[in-house]
Amino acid sequence: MPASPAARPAPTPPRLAVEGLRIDGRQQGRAITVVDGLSFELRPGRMLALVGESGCGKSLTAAAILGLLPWGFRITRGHVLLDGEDVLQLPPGAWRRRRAESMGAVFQNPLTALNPTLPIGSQVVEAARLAEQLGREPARARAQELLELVGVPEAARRLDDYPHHFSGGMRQRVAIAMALARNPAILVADEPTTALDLITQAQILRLLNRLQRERDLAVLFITHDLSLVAEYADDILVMYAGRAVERGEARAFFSAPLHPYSRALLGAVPHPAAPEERLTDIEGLPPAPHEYPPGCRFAPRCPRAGTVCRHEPPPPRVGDGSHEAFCHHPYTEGP
Amino acid sequence: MNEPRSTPERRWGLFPALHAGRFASALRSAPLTAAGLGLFLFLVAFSWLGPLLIHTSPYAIRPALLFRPPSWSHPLGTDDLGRSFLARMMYGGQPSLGVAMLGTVIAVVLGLLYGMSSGLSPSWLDKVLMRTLDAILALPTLVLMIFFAALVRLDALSLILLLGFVSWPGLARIARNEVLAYKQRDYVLAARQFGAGTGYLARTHLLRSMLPIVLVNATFTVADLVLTLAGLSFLGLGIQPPNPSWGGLLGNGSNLAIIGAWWLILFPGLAIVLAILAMNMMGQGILNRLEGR
Repeated sequence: MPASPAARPAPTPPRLAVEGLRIDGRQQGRAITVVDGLSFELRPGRMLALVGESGCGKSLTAAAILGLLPWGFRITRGHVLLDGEDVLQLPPGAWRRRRAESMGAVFQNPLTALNPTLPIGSQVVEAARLAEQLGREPARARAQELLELVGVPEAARRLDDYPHHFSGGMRQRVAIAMALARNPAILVADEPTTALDLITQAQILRLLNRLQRERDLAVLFITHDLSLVAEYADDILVMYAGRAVERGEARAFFSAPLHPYSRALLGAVPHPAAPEERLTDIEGLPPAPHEYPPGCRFAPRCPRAGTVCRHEPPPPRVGDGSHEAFCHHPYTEGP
Repeated sequence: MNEPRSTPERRWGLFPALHAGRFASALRSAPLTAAGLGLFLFLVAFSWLGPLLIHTSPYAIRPALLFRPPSWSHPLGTDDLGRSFLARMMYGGQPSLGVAMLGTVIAVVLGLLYGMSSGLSPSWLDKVLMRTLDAILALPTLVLMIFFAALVRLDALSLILLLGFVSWPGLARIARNEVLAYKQRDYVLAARQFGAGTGYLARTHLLRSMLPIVLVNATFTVADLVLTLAGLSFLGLGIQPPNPSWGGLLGNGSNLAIIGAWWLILFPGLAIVLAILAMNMMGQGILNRLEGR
């Protein structure tokens, strides 16, 4: 990444750095590359929003970091640096322990986030119980503390309740509490609000934002909804068809998005200042992994695409110094 | 992500019910299960507690009392050797119910082990294990058992093992499907992320999640085995005389009913039907709760 402008203090070292990540897999007997050359950094106290359409590889990226890639998918290139240490070089058991102690994860579906057959009190401290001997009373105290932390009302009374006694938003809070049980430095949230209504979405985001500040958490927030993260994300990484198309500081990104795809995404969202303005959509569908075009992968749908776009993969183009786009013909002025 | 096989939310209302203290109220809301359980407990009490009450040997031959129909002094009559048919029915229930229940235990253990291992294996091994299972399922059970019965003299223990070994494949398939349905659930992924090993996942998450459906299929298996065992004994391949079993009594009675001893087929037939009915009612009752009917 290019040097930050002088206005910002020197950045803290990243908790997690992903460099040139490539994930290969098989689909219907075909070898496919689902994520290619992806790099990003998670810093303490900051939220990185990983944005992209369904199937662009963002969830597989999270799965790769968490060591939860499905059968048949492998990291074939790149590095994952956890506090500067390349964890892909570690023996599997050691990597598993490092992941367990330094990362927590929240997933998409609040209906399946919790085991319906266990009272939530015992589930919330599952990670802690897997790591250490924890007696009944200390476990209950810890569970109550965690539930209070995420804002579950009357936590003490609800420890013995089962997940079906909770609403979707409350379950997602419990899932967040569960992810924080071992006090991880990194929280990976894979579309945690997609299945929730708008008000609950906002509440969950505010909760994540508070936890991130209070605990100096490095948060990776995966979503397909740019407007959702506009208020809280510190950094943005936009993915399209397995590759990064634009990345950088959220403020710079939102004030002047460089990549036509980023603009298109923003153009599909109603603007609060001009709600009657006509929304634009993007023609066509993202390509499937086995038919990625040779040049820029967005070229077939891009209004600015020229001949070079169809043949040459685009190089990184620096914007105003704090963000960059991978594009042959980036926008240069504000929206 | 592929959505797991449909699991209605309401089915999980069952789980708090499994905790002590709420069992009675859970049964009140599932009358079919309660009735089946009551009937089953009655048959168990009849077979195991009954002999303690009547002090009559099922083996005592009384030449003066042949073919007595049911009366106050001989509640279920006497058989062709003058033996108390009530005592024979009570003692006969022990192998009929006991072998079926213990055989089911073996089938459930084997089925869970095989099915869960298969579901947790890499996909190529899972395929091999499932094709093997298909081959095993293709074997006709009764023919297989007649074959074994011809090889070894069957006593209660060998019948338990035999019935257990022939009934596990169906349970294995169910267990494997349940594992596939649950292993991609977010809470299982979360536990893996916390560093949980496969054994922990299987015990804590998968086994608990599949408990209701395994319970249902176990009750149906008991019903099946009661019938299979009765069939074997009827053919003279099960429990060997003079030891009584319901199937054996029915087989013996079928030759004597034509000379008017109707009670010798009515009571064992009724006992077998009631045992199967009880297990099916229990299983169906739980299934109704699971499917939210």
